[in-house]
Amino acid sequence: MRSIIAAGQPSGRHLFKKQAVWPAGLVLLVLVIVMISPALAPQDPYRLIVSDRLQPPGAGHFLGTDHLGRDLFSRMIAGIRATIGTSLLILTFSMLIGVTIGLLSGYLGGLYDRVFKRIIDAFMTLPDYIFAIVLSGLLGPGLINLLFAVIAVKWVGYARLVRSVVLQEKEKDYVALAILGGVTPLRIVMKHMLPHTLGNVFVLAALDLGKIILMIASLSYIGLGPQPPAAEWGSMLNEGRVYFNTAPHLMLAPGLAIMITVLLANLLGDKLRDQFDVKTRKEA
Amino acid sequence: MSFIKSLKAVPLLLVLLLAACTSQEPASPDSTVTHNSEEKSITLLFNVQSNSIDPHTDVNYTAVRAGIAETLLTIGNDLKLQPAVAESWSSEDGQNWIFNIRKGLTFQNGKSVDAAAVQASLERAQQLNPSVKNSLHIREMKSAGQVLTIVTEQPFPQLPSDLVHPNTAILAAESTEEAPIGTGPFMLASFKPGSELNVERNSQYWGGTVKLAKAKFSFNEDANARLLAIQAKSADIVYRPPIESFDQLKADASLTLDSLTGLRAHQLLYNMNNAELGQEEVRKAFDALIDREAIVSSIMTGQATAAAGPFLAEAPFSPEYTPKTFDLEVARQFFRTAGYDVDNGLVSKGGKPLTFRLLTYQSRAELPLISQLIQANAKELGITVDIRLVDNIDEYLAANDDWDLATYSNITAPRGDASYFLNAAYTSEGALNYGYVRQPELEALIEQLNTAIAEDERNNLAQQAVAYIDEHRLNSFIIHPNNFVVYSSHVKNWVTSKSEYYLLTKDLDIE
Repeated sequence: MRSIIAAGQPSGRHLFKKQAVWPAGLVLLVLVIVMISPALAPQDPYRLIVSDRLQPPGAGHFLGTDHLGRDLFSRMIAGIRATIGTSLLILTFSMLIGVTIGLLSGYLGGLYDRVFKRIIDAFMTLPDYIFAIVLSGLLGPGLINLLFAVIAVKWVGYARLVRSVVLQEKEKDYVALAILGGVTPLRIVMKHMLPHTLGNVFVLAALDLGKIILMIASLSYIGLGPQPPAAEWGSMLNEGRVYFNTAPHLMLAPGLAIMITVLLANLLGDKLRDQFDVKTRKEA
Repeated sequence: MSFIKSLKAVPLLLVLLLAACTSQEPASPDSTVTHNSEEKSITLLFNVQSNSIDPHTDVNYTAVRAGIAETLLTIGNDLKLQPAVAESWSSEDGQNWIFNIRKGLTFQNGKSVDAAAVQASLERAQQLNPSVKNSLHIREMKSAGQVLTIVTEQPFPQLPSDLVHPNTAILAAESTEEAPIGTGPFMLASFKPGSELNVERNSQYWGGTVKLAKAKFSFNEDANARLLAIQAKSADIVYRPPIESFDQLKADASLTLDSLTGLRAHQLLYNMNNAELGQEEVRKAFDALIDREAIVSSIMTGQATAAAGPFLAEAPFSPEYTPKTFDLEVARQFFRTAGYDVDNGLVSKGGKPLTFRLLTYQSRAELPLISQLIQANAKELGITVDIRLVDNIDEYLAANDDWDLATYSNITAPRGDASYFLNAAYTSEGALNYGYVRQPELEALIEQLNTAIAEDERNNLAQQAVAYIDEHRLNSFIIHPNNFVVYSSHVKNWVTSKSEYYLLTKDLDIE
């Protein structure tokens, strides 16, 4: 019986262990950069020297200065934490909420599943950008409200994914045997269901990261994000818009940073999908 | 592999982006300027878009600005009232007014303008626009020939100055919301709401020959788009190009940049309901945190005057303002006097640091920058200022009390009289009294001003009221931004209007 129960474990775990090494390493690297980024800034990103405003890129200021004379390069570095850090935070919370609800809904079934399913369906009908804009518009601008608004639209994808995997997996024999063997529901969920979902969840997360960065930048661009003087790439893009004719570097720097980061996040997502997604691998 | 391949595209994209950012070659002169003396036309690009053309209700005054309609009196750049539809006016008691309507004057449809037509027009304005009704305080009007008699509810000495307001423009009875018929130098040809207005010469104009045959008055709220329009010669006159483009514009010999001290004041409002800001010393401390010189020289690139009070120092109703200096030590001293703890240069109250919420808005691009400057200076004293950007400052201030400081801007003396601003901003019922200012002594002065008639007495009372506001720092006044206009060098006789009411005039010409 132990071997049949164990049959539920290897595929997910094996996949997770073997192929997730480099993406996990990359995520770790990004986290380290996010953590140490304030130390990398050559100057105080918030110090105003208005007499030095709108300086072009040059020796004193690698990327020039912004409309209040702050060092743009330092603000770009500070923006790593504000933009990527916030995105990772949103991703983590969305995954936590989504996976928990997905596991509960899928495994418990019955009334719980019906209630959760309806909630998930209701959220799925809302176009995510519009919903996030409306929500942050109602809550008012600010970083915390922005976090809340984006999490509110992002958790649903995870809940839905995890629920469908759990529904599929819990019908298998090893789960029935585990129940017969007196294994507690919590243990079944944590030991058998969760590992099966993780591969898919990480693929979705990697694909989502780029979208979340774009969403945060977009909401900040329209003024719903962190308030001045926060160095966030989207709001820097918005502030630089006024000066695009005379100081294009104010838009170019954050614009390129967003573009390259989203591009890298998407490439990472594609790579992970190719490795984890069983269906795609078979087709290939 | 595909990952590496995709990365190869990045430099290409960068090159494309950089190419898109290089400055464009100046376009060849456009054909908007027609040099035929019979068909001279001009294009003016304004910064606020208008969706209405009815001067009685339009908050952008487009019909008056474009020279279609005129008011009884106008105001010159010397801030003195000038006759327009009314040739002369008088009152002995400030309550019974006589306006002599210009003889031989006709509307653009050929009908003559008499006192009855003016009365009908003022009645229409009051009926359609409650704020006109509330500001004029008219009890009754009588018309006989060219003489219009107006009796106000109580003595109301500023009536002539209020009749300069574009919402009181004189229209013919046949006017409709879409097609106003006025007495101005230009007649409506076509109007596309939010986009453009086309006018043509009124050859019967009472003021003399109108030089231009046609004019286009178009709107664009994007400062960069307006700059590109003048550079590409698709507009002849452009209102408020971006301040940062001034050097670029000055270097262009085919353009003239006109910058004029405006009647507007950017200010910092204090919420008197806040326990801290209710104290005069704290407000004075905040005033000392405003680096007016840096704002004028850097943020405004010199296109503003440091403000010491609500009105320009040379206005007849301005008192001798107390000098305003930016000094962190002075600010600390005010906090000390108010009983706050100041240790190592940091201000706190009972060991707790101070936190304020500052509201600002983006439609005046310099206000968020000024806010960040105040925020940075307050930080030097250990005071946290949280900036919050709001969309519509008037709506927000009217509906909410969750703010402590707010940047605000308005034209403080649009018609050469102080009483409008004093009443609106400092009386309990004032529409612009967002900071909950309740100062009985000041209100008594304003009340006296409202009934005073002689100009000297009015100026004296206004000076006393403004001196009170200044002394107690009920608001901090930051700068008077300039009105700036850039126009092609072939435009002749352009005069930048201080009041911003008169843009297309009979004298405007091209060569």
